[in-house]
Parts: sequence; C-alpha cells; structure tokens
Amino acid sequence: MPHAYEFIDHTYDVVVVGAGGAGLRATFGMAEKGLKVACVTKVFPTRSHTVAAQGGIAAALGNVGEDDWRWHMYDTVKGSDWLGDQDAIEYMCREAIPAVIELEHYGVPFSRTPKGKIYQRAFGGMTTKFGEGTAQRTCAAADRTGHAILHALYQQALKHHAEFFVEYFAIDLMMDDKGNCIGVVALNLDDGTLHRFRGHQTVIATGGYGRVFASCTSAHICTGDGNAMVLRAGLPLQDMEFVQFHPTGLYGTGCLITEGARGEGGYLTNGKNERFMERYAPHAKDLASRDVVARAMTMEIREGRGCGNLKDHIYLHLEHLDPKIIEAQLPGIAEAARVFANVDVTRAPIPIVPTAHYSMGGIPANLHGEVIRPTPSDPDATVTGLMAIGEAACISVHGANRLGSNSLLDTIVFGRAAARRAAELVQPGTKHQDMPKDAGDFALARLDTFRNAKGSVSTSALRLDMQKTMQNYCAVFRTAESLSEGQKKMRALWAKRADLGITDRSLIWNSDLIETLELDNLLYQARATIDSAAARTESRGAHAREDFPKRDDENWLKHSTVRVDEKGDTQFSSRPVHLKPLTNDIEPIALKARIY
Amino acid sequence: MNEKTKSLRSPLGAAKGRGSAQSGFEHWYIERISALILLPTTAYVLIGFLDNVAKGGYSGAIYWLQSPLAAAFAILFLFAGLRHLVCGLQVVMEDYIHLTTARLPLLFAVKFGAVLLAILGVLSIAKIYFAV
Amino acid sequence: MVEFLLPKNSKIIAGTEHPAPRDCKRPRTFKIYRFSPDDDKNPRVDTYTIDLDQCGPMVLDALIHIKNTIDSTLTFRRSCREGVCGSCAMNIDGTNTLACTKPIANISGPVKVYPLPHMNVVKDLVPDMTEAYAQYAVVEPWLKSETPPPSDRERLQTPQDRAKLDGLYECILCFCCSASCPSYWWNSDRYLGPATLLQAYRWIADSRDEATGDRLDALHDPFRLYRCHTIMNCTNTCPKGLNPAKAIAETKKLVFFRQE
Repeated sequence: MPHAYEFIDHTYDVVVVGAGGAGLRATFGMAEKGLKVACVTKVFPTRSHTVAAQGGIAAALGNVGEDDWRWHMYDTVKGSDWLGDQDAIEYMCREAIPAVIELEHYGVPFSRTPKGKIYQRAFGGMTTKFGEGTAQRTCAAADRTGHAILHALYQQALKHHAEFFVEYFAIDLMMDDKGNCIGVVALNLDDGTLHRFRGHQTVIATGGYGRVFASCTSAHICTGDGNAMVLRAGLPLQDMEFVQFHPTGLYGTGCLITEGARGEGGYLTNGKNERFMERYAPHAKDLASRDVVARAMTMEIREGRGCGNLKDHIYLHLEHLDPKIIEAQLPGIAEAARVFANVDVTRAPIPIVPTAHYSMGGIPANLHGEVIRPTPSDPDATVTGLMAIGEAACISVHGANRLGSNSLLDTIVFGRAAARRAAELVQPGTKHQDMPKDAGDFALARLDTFRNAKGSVSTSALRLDMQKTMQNYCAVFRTAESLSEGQKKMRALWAKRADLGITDRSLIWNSDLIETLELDNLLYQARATIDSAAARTESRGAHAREDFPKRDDENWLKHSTVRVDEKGDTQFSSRPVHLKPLTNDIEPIALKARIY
Repeated sequence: MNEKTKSLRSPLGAAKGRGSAQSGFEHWYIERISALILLPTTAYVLIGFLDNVAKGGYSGAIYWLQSPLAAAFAILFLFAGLRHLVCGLQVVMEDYIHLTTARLPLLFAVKFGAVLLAILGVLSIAKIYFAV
Repeated sequence: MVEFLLPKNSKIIAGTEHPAPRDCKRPRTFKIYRFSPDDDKNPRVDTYTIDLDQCGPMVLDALIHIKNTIDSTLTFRRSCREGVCGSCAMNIDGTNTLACTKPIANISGPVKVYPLPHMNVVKDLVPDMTEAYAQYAVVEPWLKSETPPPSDRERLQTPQDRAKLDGLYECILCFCCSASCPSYWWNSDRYLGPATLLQAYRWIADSRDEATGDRLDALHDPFRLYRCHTIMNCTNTCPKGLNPAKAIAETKKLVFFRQE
C-alpha cells in the first residue's frame, strides 16, 4: 500500500517536545521571553506523568526548622553516591529556593504551616548539618504535589499564550549534515498528518522509560521517546544502568505510594512484624535513601521474611497515624490503597514491593540543558540546536541514585534554566537555513516500515517479553550471570523486531502503530540499560552488583556513555564526573562511604 | 472529523463567543423569588377559593374575592405565577431551541401572552372587587 | 428548531462478535463502541468475551487485554492507570468514569463501554476534547494579582484559607462531569459546563487571587453560568468524588451577595 506522505512545515524559534513539568516550565519560560515556541506533546499536558508525583519538591526554604542549600547539596551528592556532577547539583539546590517560591507565585496550592508558609515534610536521605539531623525540606501540596504543580504550569502556559500541538507523536529528530539538530518530525494523531517542526533549539522533555520493566510506577506513556530519538541520531545516552526502584510501589499494580507516607511517620515491617530497616540503616531507618530501602526489602523477601501467603511483599504501616493527618496530608494514597488494594489505611497496612520508578540516566546535558556529545578532546562538547531536560536528561544531578522530591525539582529548575539559555542563544525571529532536501525522510521511513509491518510477532507480545526480561535479569540486584543471560534474551528479542506485525493500517489515531513505535523506542533503551549494567563492574547507588558489592572509585567514578546502533549493538565510552562545585561558596563534597 | 462540519474558527474564539452578557442573575433570582411567593399565595388562594365555593358556590367565590386580602393575594398569585411561567418557558426554549430566529419570536409571544393574561386577570379581579 | 433527527451515519449497528477463548474460566462479555474515521460506515458495537483470570480487575485492564490479545485496532486513551491523569474517561455501564479505577466486579451483566457522550468521536473511544479545553482557557485559570508577590518568599495563606481549595484543585480535567450534564449536552457551545466552572471557582476561592470581581463578571451570563439547572449529574459521576454542583452554587451565591 504505497501512500504518498506529505509534510506540513512549521517554523519556530524553539520546539519543545513533551509537556510534563520540565517541558511546560521551559515552554512558557521561553514564551515569556519573547521566543516563538511550539510545544509538541503526545498527550494533553495535564495527562503527563508529572501529574502522578505525590510527595513534593525539595527546597531549603527552612519553613519547618533550620535549613541551608549546602545541606541539601550534601544530601544530593551523597544520595547520588558521588556520581552526580557537583556543579549541576550546586546549581539545582541553590536555584531550588527561588524556583519553588516562583511556583507559589504562579498559584500552586501548597499546603501551609500554621504561619501561612509553604508546608514542608521529611523525605528519605534529606538531612540537616551534613547528615546529622532530619530535614523537613520537601514542599508539599498534600500528596498531590505533582498534580498541583503540573496544572499550575499548564495554567501559566495558557497565560503566556504558549502554542501547543496536542496529541502529536514525535517520531524522530531532524539532524543536518554537520550533526546539528534542526527540528523534529511528528505525527498528528487527530488527523494523521505529518509535520516538520523547525527550531533553532529543539528541547527534549519526553520523560523516563519506566515501561521497559514489567512492574513500574510509570504511566503507559513513559516510553522514553526522546532518549530513543537521540540514540537514533547517533548521540549517546549516559548512566543508563542506574534505574531507581521505589520501595513502595503498590503490590500488584505497581501504583506509587509516596515516600511522604514514611515522611509523615509511616514505617515498614516484614512478615515477622519486624521493623527491619533498623538493621539496614540504624540512623535513618525507614527514611534511608530509596536504593537502600529497596535493597533491604528485596533481601527480606528473598530470605523468606516477606508478607502474605507467598511471602513476596512488605507492609507499609500508617494505621498508627492520626486519621486527621492522613486526611490532610495523604488523601491520595489513602484513595489509591482503597481502590487498588482494598485497604483502609487507618486500619490495615498497605502491601508494597520495590517497583521500577525513575531513570537517573538519560541524555547527557550540561546545567543549561544543552545536550552533550563528548569528544576525545572535550568531554563536555555540546550539540548545536539540541537541549534535554527533566527525566529524559542526565544533567547529572541524581548520579547513581535520586533522592525523593529531587525529581520535581530537577524538572522545574532545569526547565527554567533551559528557557534562560534558549533566550541567550536564540534571537527571536532569526531566519532558518534552507531545510535539507531529505529532512524528515528518516522518520518517514521508520513510520512507514512499522505502519506496514506484516510480521508474525505482535507488539504486545514482544513488549511483554522485553518487560519480563528486564524485570527478571536487570532489577534491584544484578550479577554477571543474570545480566549476560538477560543480554542474550534481549538480543533475541531485538531480532524479533524485524518480524513485528500490526493490524491497524490507518493514520488517524492509530494506537497500534504508536504503541509499536513506542516499543521500538523502549527496545533501544532496554539494550542500553542492560548492556550498561553488565559493563559497570561495581555497586554504586541504584546499581547493585552482587558479584561486585563494593563501590570502585578508582575505576568507576565516571559517567558511562552508551550508543546503540541500528543493529541494537552498544558502544561504550565514559565522561569524568564533575567533582568541583560551581562556586567557591561550598567546598567539594569529599568522597566517603555511604552509610545512612 | 468531517471536513464539512469542522469550523475554521479557533477553538478559543468559539469558546469565548460573544463574551459575558453580564446578566442572568436577575432571571435566576426572579425565578426563585416568584417560586417563594407562589408557595403561600397558591395555598391561600386555593384554600380560600375552594372553601368559599364549597360553602356558597359561585356567589361564595365572588364574595370571597371581594375581600381586600383575597383580592390582593389573588393578584399577587397571578403576577408571581405568570412571571414564574415566563421564566420557566424561557429556560426551556433557551435549552432546546437553538435557532435564534425561531426562539426569539416564540419568547416574545410567551411574554406578550403573559402580559395580556396579567392585564386580563387584574381587570377581572377588579371588576369583581368593585362590583358592589 | 429543535433537532429531532440524528445526523447521517450516526445510528449504531451491531458489530463483530469475538467469542470466549478456549479453556475460559471466568468469562465476561464487553460490548464496546467502535467507530472508524477512515470510512463512511456507521458506528458499531463489537462484542468481546474474555477470561477475567487473564486480566486485571479494572475496566482499563480489560480494554488493554482486548487490545493486546484480540483486536489491536481497538483505540482508547490511557496513561497513568491510577486515576490521576484523566485520560481514560469514558462511559462505562451507563456512567461517565475513569476506566482505570472502575472495577469490573462492580458491574452486572455485559460491560458496555462507550465514549464520553455528546462529544464528537474521533475514533472508537477517543472523543474530541478541543471544545472543552478551550472553555477551560476562557475562565483564565491562573492566579491574578496586582499586588506584586513578596520578592524572596512565598505569599502567605492561612491553613484555613488553603483548606477552601480542597475539593477544587484536585480536578483532573477528565470532563466526565461536563459530558454527563444534559445542560452541557444541549448548549456546550455557550454553557461552560461543570468542569470548567469548578476550575473557575477554584480561583475565586483562592485567598491569594485578586480578580474575584472580574471572574464573577466573566461568568455572569445566562449561558456560561446560569445554564446550570442543578441537575447534579456532575457530582454523581465525578470519579474523584468532587462536587462541581456545589462550586457552581457557591459562584451563584457570590453573584447574589455582591448585588444584595
């Protein structure tokens, strides 16, 4: 069925792909600065996965007890197991304060302290005085902070008359022969038309790729489309082995139960009714960093001390809390537990299990959001015309493990930074060079191949196989054995990609096609993740190798970068970690053992 | 979507339409106030009228309407009822009749009819009241 | 005049029957509205019988199961699968709700799944929400104040004032309520509908907002606001348990008190 595809062209100063926290913050930030900006998004902005963030956004406001951005920085570096870039972390923790204040000014309905300030709660890994006390640093709107922030950002975008292309699925980047990015190709689901968006900057804010795992807290749309587009453009991803498993995903569905539940006083028990976290993290206990808690839970389950008939989960207790606190601060998770686990949290514990949650890795970018293409002479060389922010990016502020409430912060701070940078780089209305003749052909070929795919493997079957493989061989604990078995299976699954078949040949809202394009994107990232995990022979943050249980600073204090070619094969390289902060206002945080 | 039915106007332009008419409260308010007035007046008029008809037939009713209180209540009942009727019919027409050229004449007819009925009603009550 | 006739090609016809798989332990029948924009055919209702042992407990799980194993052309929106994003709003068993939080077990008989009523259908269970989104923008749903915010800190708000936003800010814009409102069905071009009016009231109720008067002015219209006839379908159907009817009543009350 040969079909003549035609492009509809659009010319902008900047094109943002994705309308979650980072994408929206960047979009209206740019519109505010007079740039002509288009935001291309595959779902209506308020359906983005930022909406599911619950606990809050970290900022050292000091509204509930003393606080300092330096302490926040220390916690973040320690949480990252020293893999985070300290200059970017300093920037994020300092800018957190004005960025969150700004959010309040935009109208985010934060919960309030009795004095009327933004309410702040305790969160895992957040301390005062460089590890001494517990910090209350996480600014919250009950347990719907992501929802509150995302809606406020969309409202600001409306206020600034930002232009949206809603339900446009981005297929691939357009690169010129110099390797610069000149825009993006997208399919309008509503009428099946194809569009080329030109931009002097293209900002990737497409979020994470949690859906490579069988059990994840991520939404169905979290397929890391931007990451895969970058790989196909021949650019590397960074630190893809670091995937965070959230300790408290609801047993069964994987729905998120916020860490804020423990921040408000909740605790974990095993099948013997022991508060086992006291053994693993004597000081921070249930509020240790997420990777620590997830590993502890996995150990308990593995050693036969799980809860339930199958002894395969852990209990989160909230029933000792005042129902008024639950009603005021945790209403959303009370609802989720009731609907999805049939549990009344004021009477019974919630069954939970570590669940894939966040990718620390992604598109390497500097603290302005500019995408990095390392060269032998300059590990920080940037790609002209391409930016990445949010979970899609690896700036790298989370290093090997992200602290709770730093992800909303990451999206806001770097969305804002990208807007500022774009305003510096792009003069509004600057003329574009002529479009290369073959611009968009690569994307078109890919679209056409899958649209006419007539093989014997269904998208859903291949997707499930991939998800199970990643879950079984590349989860909380990893060994050379499990990883190489997983790699073997992933190679076989990659081969099946050529034998995919779909049944819907239309172009208008062809969700069969879209899911297949998304699966293709996921496969690229699954290969990157499992191969990176096999390559890194140490344990650091969320990457726990049982055969290499120690952190190896001598050989592995570096970012790994990975390219995936069209055959699915990976090539590795590395970049040094930025161990020096941005300014002299704080000493570099020296390497030491990570104990909570 | 069907090409023929798809408007080329921007969705926001369509949604903003002609802006806010800065009215609507009065209609809403009168509908409720007239309903409130109708509660006691309907009861008074109905009970008074039926009671007197039962006692004295036609002349009983005439006798009843010649009391100032009954006549006043009857006029109030008539006004409130007609006003409420107009309000209600207007809502029904606005809800279901989308063609302005059909809705406006109908609405005018209803309002005209109501005024006519009001005048007729008042004259009739006055005639009975003053026919000593 | 009054529209008595349906537009061409809008009569729903019977569609394909997909029988239960072999060795089906817990069969359950789903009747799902199908419409293809690519031909001139009428919409149809396809019947799928699936084994509940093979899929999760919610209606969305069943839809995904059908798409994955029986018919990959079945099209619907979905994202978070935990009731917070508002994508999978549809009419299930006669009620507008989110497919991801609607347990199959709560429905008796065949599960009937239709798109949100009285919206243009793009394909299958995907309605065109453009009009509803545009109406949302009409109420200018952002904080308006002329007093500049304090430069280095947040605006203050008492916990009591903040509590006035509970039950309002949680709206996920799924438009289940608007699509359940007969008044919105008949006059969606001029009546803003419960979802948008709830959002408008969310800003009227915010102690930080200084545009209450302007907002009331913008709503004070026989159609925009007063087309609400207190039918209460909105409140009954809201999958998040919010009360748009109350927000509308509060708005009307404010319009009243600024006159009397």
